[in-house]
Amino acid sequence: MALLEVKNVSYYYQDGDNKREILKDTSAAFERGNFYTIVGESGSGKTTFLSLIGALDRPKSGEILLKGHNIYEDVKRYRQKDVGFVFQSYNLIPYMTAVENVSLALDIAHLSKKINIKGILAIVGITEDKTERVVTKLSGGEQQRVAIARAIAKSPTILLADEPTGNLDTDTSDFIVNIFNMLAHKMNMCIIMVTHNLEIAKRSDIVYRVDPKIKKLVKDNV
Amino acid sequence: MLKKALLHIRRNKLKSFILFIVFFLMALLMTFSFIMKEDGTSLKNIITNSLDLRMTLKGTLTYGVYGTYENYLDEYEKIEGLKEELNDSDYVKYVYQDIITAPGYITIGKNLDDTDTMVSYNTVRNENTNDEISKNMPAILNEIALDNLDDLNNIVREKRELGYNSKKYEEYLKDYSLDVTDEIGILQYRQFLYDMNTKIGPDVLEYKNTSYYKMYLTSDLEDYNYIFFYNGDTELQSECLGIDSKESLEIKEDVDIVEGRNFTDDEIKNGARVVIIPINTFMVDKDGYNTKVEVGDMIPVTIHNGLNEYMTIEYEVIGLHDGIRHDDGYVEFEERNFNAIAYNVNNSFNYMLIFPENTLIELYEEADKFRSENDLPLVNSVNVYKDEIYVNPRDYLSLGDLVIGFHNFDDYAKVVEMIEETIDPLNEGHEEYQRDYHIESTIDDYYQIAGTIESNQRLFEMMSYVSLVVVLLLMILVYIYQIKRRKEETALLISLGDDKGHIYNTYFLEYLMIGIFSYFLAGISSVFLTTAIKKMMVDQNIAALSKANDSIIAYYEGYLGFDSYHIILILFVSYLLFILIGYGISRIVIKEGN
Repeated sequence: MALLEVKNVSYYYQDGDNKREILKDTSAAFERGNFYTIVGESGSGKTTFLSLIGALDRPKSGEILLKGHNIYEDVKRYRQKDVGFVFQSYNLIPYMTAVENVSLALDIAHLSKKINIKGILAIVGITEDKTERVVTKLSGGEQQRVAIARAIAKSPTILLADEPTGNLDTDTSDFIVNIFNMLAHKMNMCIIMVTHNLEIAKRSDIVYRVDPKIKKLVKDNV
Repeated sequence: MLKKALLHIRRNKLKSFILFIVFFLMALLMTFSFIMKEDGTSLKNIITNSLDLRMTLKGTLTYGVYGTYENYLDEYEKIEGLKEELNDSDYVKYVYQDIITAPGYITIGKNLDDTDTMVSYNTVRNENTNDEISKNMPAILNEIALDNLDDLNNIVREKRELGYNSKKYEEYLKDYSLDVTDEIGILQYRQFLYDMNTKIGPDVLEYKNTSYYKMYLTSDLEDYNYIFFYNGDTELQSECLGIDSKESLEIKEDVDIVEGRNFTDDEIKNGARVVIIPINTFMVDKDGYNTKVEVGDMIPVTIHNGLNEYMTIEYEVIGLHDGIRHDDGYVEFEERNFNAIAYNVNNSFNYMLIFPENTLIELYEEADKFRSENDLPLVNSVNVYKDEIYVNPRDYLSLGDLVIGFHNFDDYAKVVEMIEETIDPLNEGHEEYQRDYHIESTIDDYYQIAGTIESNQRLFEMMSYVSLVVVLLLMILVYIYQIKRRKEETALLISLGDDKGHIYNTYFLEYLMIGIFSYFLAGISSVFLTTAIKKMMVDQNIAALSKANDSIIAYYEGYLGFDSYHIILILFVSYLLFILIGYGISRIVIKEGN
């Protein structure tokens, strides 16, 4: 049994009388220890797919199973413990410091306060002197690192990343991809990253592509 | 939650400060308006209560009305159930009638023009003619000159023999006549009064209602010399309650002696130094400490002239009474007591001391003897007074004055007109200096001030309600705006697995904290602001008075003190609304979001 199974999932937007199909009867499976990327044209439904497997949105039909259980059986727990998010625009709480941002996620997940937050921040390259800074005072790359730290601090089984390198320079992007690889291969996480950058996709283990014609995820050999 | 809320406030100082200012201004507007509105009412009451419509009504109309008219009305409403039936003006009219047509009594004393000592009997109210004031105006029916105590006693005795039938007694009085040969020199005046005493205790300043006998031991021609025998009831039965043996027995039937005993026949017949006092009578010492008087205690009654004590006679407390009450709660004796009628009807009799008649006469005789032997000044009073039973009389409004306080300021003119109609015929044929009936008042100044206050009050009243609505609306909008503004933060927290309700509760907690702080400051600021404005208004008003007297100024100064209870209540209620509405919005938003 795969860690995360997407079975016959469809999704559409209702725009007045028009129904705009995004995904149609698509299926996919994701395992621990792999770094997945999802590529596709703009508007093809990559981010929608990520939202669905992150339980931020519900599929119109089909189901998404974590270890055989529908993720909506206990969506709160799923969001708190099983899945971590990294967004293109970082989505940090702007009035909090790096440590507070990570700590907040742990609080929400009801996890021990003994977790070494600064250690986690160090793993993603945030130096000690920057850990107590309000995040708006950090650079874009640093903010994204904090966002990654926040996502991984609670040791989720799945890490979802939506264009995390979209606003970053090449060096920082590389660093983040390296982290993702490390998390997948060393920490046995399931990393699913949406990107339009094929170079980055090449560095992942498995690439999925959203085919705009059939509205399905298909494995791609980049 | 609290930690996060505090963090948000701390890290978003500017936004929090703007929110604080918005809340502060809203709360300030609201509390200010409410305080001004309430104080407008207070000020108006103060002015109204400080008004005296004074009428010098010489002759036999010897009613004094004290205290606030409102107090009286409250009691009157309870008794007569008139509130539903009469509007304010009618109240005034009715009360006025009631004052001047209170149950009849006998007056023994002197005419004010020093001509004769006389006995007069004032008619009893005719309940069928309530609306015809002049018809009910008490009148002198007869005059009897007295030259000694025996004459007085004879009158009492003969009256008693007539069986206390007022009709018969009226006839009797008409036929009775005596020439004045000497001054009486003994009991001239006895009266129940009701007063509000200030008692300064170790920690507090408190007020106590009480009544007392006031007894003038004088035969000075300048003084009023009266004895009042209270009429039995409104059935035109002339009886002497509490002053002779039979009426003492009658009291025995009506007064509930809750502890001790009533007078014995022997005590009534021969007199004895015994007294029945109200339950809950306290002895007050010079420091304001008091001790409850019990059966068996001795009460010293001091005879003095207000400056010097002459002598003291002690009376043993043999019983404690609980007042006279009828089934309907009406205290019959109160109506016989023309002074008490102006006070708290339910209370006044409860503060009455009851002596056997002969005991009182002994007291007066002793006092007069003492005065004569020691060549003391004539203007004396016998009071239950000083450090013993502390019943501190306030200045008694001289007989012949009628004072009406007003409940409704606007009734003043109507009442004056009504009274003028009443007294004009009585003054007919007299030159101005000869007239017995006068109205004295400086009402016009106050009237003008009240007008200003009223219009201000209306403004503040409108402001207060409008501001309440506006403030609540603004709060809703501000809160919705705040929620919308933090949409991204909300989405992120949800993605982290936070509960939507928890998120909005956290936001709401922030507003609550800012709200509490701003309300608190707004409350304090309102007090200062309103006090300053009030002071300005009061100064202007005092300056506008052509005859500002100390009493009015004192009232105004009292008015400047604010009612903290009121302010706290306003803040509390508005803040409660704020919480309820804010929380309600949170719930609605959460529901919609789900």
